[in-house]
Amino acid sequence: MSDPIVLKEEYDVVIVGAGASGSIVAHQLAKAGRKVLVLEAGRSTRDDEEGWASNVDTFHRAVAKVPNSAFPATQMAPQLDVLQFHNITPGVPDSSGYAVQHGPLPFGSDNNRSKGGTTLHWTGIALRMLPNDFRMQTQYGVGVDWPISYDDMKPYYELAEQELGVSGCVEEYLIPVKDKKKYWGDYQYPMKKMPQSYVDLRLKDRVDGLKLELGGDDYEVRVVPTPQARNSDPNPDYKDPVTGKRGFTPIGTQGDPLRGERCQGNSCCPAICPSQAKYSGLRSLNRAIAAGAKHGKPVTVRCQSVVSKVITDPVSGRVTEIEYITYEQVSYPPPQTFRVKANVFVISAHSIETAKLLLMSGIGNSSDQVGRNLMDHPTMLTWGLMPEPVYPFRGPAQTSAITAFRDGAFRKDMCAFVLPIDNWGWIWSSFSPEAYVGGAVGGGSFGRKLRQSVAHDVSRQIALQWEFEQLPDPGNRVTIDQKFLDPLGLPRPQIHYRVQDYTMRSMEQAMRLSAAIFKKAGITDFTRYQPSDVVYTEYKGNPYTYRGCGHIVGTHRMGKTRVDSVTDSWLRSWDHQNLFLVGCGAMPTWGTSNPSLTMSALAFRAAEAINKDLDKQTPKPR
Amino acid sequence: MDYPIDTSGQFLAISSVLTGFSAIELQGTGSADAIWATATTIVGAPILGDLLTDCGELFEKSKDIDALEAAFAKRVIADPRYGPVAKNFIGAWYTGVWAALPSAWCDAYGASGSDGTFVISPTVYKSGLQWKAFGGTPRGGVPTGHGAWNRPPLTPINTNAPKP
Ligand SMILES: Cc1cc2nc3c(=O)[nH]c(=O)nc-3n(C[C@H](O)[C@H](O)[C@H](O)COP(=O)(O)OP(=O)(O)OC[C@H]3O[C@@H](n4cnc5c(N)ncnc54)[C@H](O)[C@@H]3O)c2cc1C
Ligand code: SF4
Repeated sequence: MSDPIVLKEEYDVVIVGAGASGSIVAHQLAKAGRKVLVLEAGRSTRDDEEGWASNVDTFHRAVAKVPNSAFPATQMAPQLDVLQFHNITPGVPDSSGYAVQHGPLPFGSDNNRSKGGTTLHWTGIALRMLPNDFRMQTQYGVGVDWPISYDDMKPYYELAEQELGVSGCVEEYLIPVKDKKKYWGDYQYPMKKMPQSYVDLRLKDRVDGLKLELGGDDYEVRVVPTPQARNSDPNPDYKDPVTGKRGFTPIGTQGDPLRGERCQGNSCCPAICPSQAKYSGLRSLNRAIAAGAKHGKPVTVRCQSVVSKVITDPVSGRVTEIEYITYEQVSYPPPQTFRVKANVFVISAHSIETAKLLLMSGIGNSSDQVGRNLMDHPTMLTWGLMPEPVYPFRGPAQTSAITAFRDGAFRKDMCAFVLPIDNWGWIWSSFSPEAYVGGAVGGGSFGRKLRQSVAHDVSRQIALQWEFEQLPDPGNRVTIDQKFLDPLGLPRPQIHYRVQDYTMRSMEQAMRLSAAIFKKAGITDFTRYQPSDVVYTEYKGNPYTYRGCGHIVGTHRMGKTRVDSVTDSWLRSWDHQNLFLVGCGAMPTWGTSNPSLTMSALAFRAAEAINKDLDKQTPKPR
Repeated sequence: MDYPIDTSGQFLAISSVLTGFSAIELQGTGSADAIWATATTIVGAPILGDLLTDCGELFEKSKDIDALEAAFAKRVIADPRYGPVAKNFIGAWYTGVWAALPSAWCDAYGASGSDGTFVISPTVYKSGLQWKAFGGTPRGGVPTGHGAWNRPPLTPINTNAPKP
């Protein structure tokens, strides 16, 4: 590759990665009149009506409709993909995908590397963490405490719920929190709860009130509506946390205020929301661009630009420049390297790529924590047939969950878990309805008999997702190895991953609890775990299959001291004062909340700190 | 039973027996031409022509749909030449996917370079009978309206049919 070209243009802030994290920071900085450059490794995703429709088309053309189907990677900026994961033979790392998986278990979650990032294909569940999730060491003697508490995060959660557009009902979202008044205050979500599905309501009828024992205590099963970042009816009682004004206007399809202002039941989340009623990072990026234009400081977004190195001043420790490689999708002209200067740098390339970039640059790691404590929510499924039709495969992916086990004294010994109810039957456990049809036809079924069996069985399919908490484990980590390079010559991520007994003990209990719920509901159990499943494991001689949940967390955790963490609670690198690491990687623990709402709240905190830092350097004229 | 005289009518008639949906319902999906064209490219006109002709005989000899289904089970589904093709028709109608033909079938009748497993078209996927059979929504295909998912589908589905 040729020598780097140094850009003449300098910026207040350079942001690496145009996902939700980077885009939220960009928006907050643009609103304050900062000059911002966003560098994005992947494609410049079209989100105008016609372009978005072509992305939906790409999804429909995929035989295996997996999360990444609508947004394939470019050759030069590969991404993790669920179709790349396999069980690992001990001692033989699996290098067949983009990441080299060392195991012992495969890390089963994927990401997306295009403008908009992984929220192009997320499910949109937007849960706040519980107060005890922030103080696991103090409360339960496991994991670590956060440097901040739920109370510190509360105002930022409110900002994040506004940015993402969360629908939910504070009164109905029952959670194991003692002081609910203190937890919520007089808060109301921007939009009313997403209507619960017929699947949820039939199950609720049958199991609500069931008492289940765990760790010597009783927990009551209740099927409650889940808060989520997709558009529902606006809540007139919602109070804007910034202006204090009542009400909320949902944003849907880019460029068309009349489409997507409600989730329309396209039943396509996570893969792609055809109406854009579900939040994606593109929404925040578009806001950033609009804010920049308003302030006469355009936010510049450059795609197909892979950041390859962060350069620091050895004396001051400050980051001075960032190096990035641009590429074309054809072989000529060849990739070109650039360097750009700025006052502040933000890396928001998602947990694995952010850690990789720090390791590649040899910076920010005096704590030796970079890349460590990689976590997911290992997700086990149990599935069966309801005694009556529940008509799955309609509406959003999830509308309800059983939340009783999100906290409790059992967390001294085993992990918390949450049970979303799948609205799409056995899609995740056995690729229904396609595989159901395939199996029946393969077995010789056809005609009226085939039609009847699909009607009878698929209409009764139900699945519970058991999403388990993981604790930080320094051995679960991302490393780099110059022997394994991507097409631009940059190291591919090396992943070392296992699931601790703390989590396995709850999986073991879950089998018992699932059987009790199924019995109460009259569900005929079809759950089977077999060695050919990805990811298959055994615990105390029993089989378990779990999947990655898409939740990639914990590779650059924040903390109270520079000894055991990578950043402070404002996501500022301990080692480099003008470097901010924004994303799920910052979270030291995270309980059973899907991570992106907390990630977004932290992005608001980081943006606040950056704006303050920049104000100090160049005081605003009064 | 009656058998149409034109190719497209005949294809709908045999598809109706194979899928359990009426010819009118099948026509309503708008997928027939695309599925037939795919099969013609991959399987070839001689085998498909024979299939249509032989099915005509089954129609002629069967007095009702029970008899016709029984005849199809023996002479089409279980037939080494027609079976894999017929199963592919069912898969295409239900899921929108053409599946690569079995290697044993290809050994006997030859493989086309166009064969493979692929979605015939986004439209054929979205019109898949699998969704109509149990009242589901094709992924990203048909917006049902906000909140429609919290009650049973508008079009009643006979889900109580005894499990075959
Ligand atoms: C199937 C699925 C379902 C999910 N469901 C939920 C859910 O319901 N709730 C929830 O809270 N979370 C969910 N998640 C997780 C959620 O999507 C992520 O946590 C979130 O998108 C992360 O946002 P981010 O901006 O930090 O990273 P990303 O969105 O991944 O953005 C990072 C960006 O950085 C770019 N980048 C990477 N490397 C470089 C580089 N070297 N140079 C320049 N740019 C780079 C990437 O291309 C990408 O655009 C789900 C994930 C998946 C896969
Ligand atoms: S159900 Fe459809 S409209 Fe609603 S969020 Fe999901 S994909 Fe979007």
